[in-house]
Amino acid sequence: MSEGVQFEEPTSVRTLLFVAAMAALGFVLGSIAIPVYPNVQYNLVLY
Amino acid sequence: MLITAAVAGPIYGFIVGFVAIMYTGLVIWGEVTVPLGFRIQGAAIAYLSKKLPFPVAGFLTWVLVGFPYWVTTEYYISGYPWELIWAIQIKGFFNDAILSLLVAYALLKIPGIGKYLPISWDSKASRVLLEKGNL
Repeated sequence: MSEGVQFEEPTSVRTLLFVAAMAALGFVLGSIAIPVYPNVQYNLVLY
Repeated sequence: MLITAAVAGPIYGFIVGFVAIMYTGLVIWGEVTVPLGFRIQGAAIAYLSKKLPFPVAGFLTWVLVGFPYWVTTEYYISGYPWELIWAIQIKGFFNDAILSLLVAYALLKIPGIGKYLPISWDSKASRVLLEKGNL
């Protein structure tokens, strides 16, 4: 492991924005996945 | 969730894992255990990728954390029949352990992507991302 690798602060604005963006993206993709990709849990709710 | 955990650590993986599955898990399926399972996996991959390469850590997350968690909660809490539990686990193996992982790995493989990600979690994968620019 080489030193001199600069890590971002875990509470920096850039990190928080990235996490918020990933959460929003995951929420949108996760929410539209069900109508286009029905699966076994979904079928359980139907019957 | 997988990318956030690898880049920003277990706490943020925990948060994104919850938000990503919130609507589907709570509203559509009505299962409280689903968001918790994703949160635990989001945190676990961050710890496993400390020492292991990202794809191995992701696969082991499903094998060691995801699969036992889902089988236990689906049987004892949701009360699903075994046929359904195995059907979900076979789907989950391809979905969670293979497909999601490959998508996350492919995105982290984009040349130079490491420069644009706020990498705050010190792990094997994140050091490679910082030094090489991609996984």
